Amino acid sequence: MRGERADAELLSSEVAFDFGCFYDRHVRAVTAFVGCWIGEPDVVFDLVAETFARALEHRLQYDSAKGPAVAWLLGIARNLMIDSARRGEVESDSRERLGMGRVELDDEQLEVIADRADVHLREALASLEAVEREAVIRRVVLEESYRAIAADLRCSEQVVRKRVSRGLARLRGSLEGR
Amino acid sequence: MKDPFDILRAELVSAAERAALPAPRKRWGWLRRPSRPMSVLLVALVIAGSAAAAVLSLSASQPLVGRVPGAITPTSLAGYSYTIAVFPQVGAGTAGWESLIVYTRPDTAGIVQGGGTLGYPTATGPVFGGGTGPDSCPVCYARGNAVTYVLTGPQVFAVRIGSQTIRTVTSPGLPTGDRAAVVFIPAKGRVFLIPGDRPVPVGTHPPGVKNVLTVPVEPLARSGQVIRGHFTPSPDGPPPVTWMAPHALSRWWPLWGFTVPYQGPGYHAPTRPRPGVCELAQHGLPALHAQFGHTIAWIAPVPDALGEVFLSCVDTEYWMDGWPLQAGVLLDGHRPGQVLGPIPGARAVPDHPDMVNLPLGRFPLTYDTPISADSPQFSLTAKRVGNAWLVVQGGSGLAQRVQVLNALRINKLDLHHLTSGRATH
Repeated sequence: MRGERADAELLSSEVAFDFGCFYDRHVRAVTAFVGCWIGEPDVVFDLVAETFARALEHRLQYDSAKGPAVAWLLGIARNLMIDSARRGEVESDSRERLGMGRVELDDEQLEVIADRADVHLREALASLEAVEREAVIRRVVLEESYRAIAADLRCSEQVVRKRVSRGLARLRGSLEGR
Repeated sequence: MKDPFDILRAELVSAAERAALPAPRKRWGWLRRPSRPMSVLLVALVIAGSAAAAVLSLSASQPLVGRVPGAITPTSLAGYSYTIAVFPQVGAGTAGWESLIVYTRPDTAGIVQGGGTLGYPTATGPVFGGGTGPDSCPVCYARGNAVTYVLTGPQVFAVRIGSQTIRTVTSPGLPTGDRAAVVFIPAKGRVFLIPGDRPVPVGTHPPGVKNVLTVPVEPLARSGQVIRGHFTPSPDGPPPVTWMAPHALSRWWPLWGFTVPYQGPGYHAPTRPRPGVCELAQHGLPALHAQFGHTIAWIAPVPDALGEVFLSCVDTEYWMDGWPLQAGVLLDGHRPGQVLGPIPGARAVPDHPDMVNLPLGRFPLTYDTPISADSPQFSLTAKRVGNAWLVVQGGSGLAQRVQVLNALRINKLDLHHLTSGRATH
């Protein structure tokens, strides 16, 4: 983790700037994750914005014992995408509660978003070791419990947690390296 | 070109800063509308004590203006005068109604209020709001009589709440065609009205309220049959475009329905009104300062609405002599550009035959907070301009609103940008 402060510490900090650091750390992963599913860059941006707004609202509920923060974030993004698909619009409740303004996007900015979203997550996943890849997919995408994954793989929960954590860290590094 | 992710970062950091501050706006959270027209609100009634509910039977609705039975006692609504007021949403891009129930204690300046964020009734969503209030005094329900009300579309003959059936009534205080059922809640905490944007699980206890069970409000047709509806998210309206004047300040005492402006570090919102289908302009009143507002790029009619409904195509918050005033332009929600109906409950302003006024009074921030000269003013005054209502809400009083209405004009009203109506309410 490059000696950086833990996500849990950033999230529990009362210093607003720390949330900015948390955002910097994970925005590419979240954007890439959302971009895998959503084609329109404005919608991608809306989803990313609401994901982090929700994370900000619920930052004190994050429990590092339950998994890495990026998994928590991607879980929020995933639920948002499902809700948004059902509702036909991207929710903006958290941003409204936080008093965040709507960001007006011009064509150039939409291109930036499209570029960030157009990350071949599958390629990045493919670069992981098989055991890490399986752990990440089952935990983050399929939302299986650590216990279930561990039982299936016949290893301890701790091992699964490490695989997920390591896999996500590598994914993040891979995405940041773009 | 500013990187949009940097803008978002700045917004988040600003929000994190605000989150660390005490937030008076929370007091108003129950009144604030969503920025998008999330107008479908399912209403559930919570009845404390199912045995109490079992003895209720068919009854007539109470009036929209009256007095709560019982003697005045501390932390109770008994003995208060009440007024149920329905008034149009003014936020740009929204169509529908909001409501308040105002409790006024005789011989004192104390007023408490409550209400529900509303929308408009449709064939599948005939109950479009209601309330009991005050949200700031939940124990008030438990310690004395109170009033609850349900607002419905024209097709609802009665509503069933638990085992009680109440006939709906029409009133000049309601949107044309719409109806209401008003019922007194006996002491000891019988009924608690929860408006929400999603169904409330029936038979559960709401958080923090003991011995209270949720029961649905069932709208009944004249035949006595339940009008089956279903909860659906409200349709997309035109997304409002927010703008803010360069000199605008943080205000933690907003009229409800506004996006609270905030110019924290990294603020990047627009600094002047953005083009829209409707635009406001002012002249001849230097003390009137635009602070922030919303425009829309197109108008989305609501043909599925039953009863009268207005649609706002622009809103602006002005400040004048330290008072906030919200201005908006209302169009006919079914057919924008057609002749509008009256504003429910509004009366002609003396010496200003083109204006009407709906007095809603001042409000304290919490239950039992004394009303003062600084308390928010919710009353609204409106002027017909062609086939639109130019509305001003808030301010220091009627005289100021009239002054502002005379200084405002509708600079632009473009009815060519209409979406085809969607019937997905």
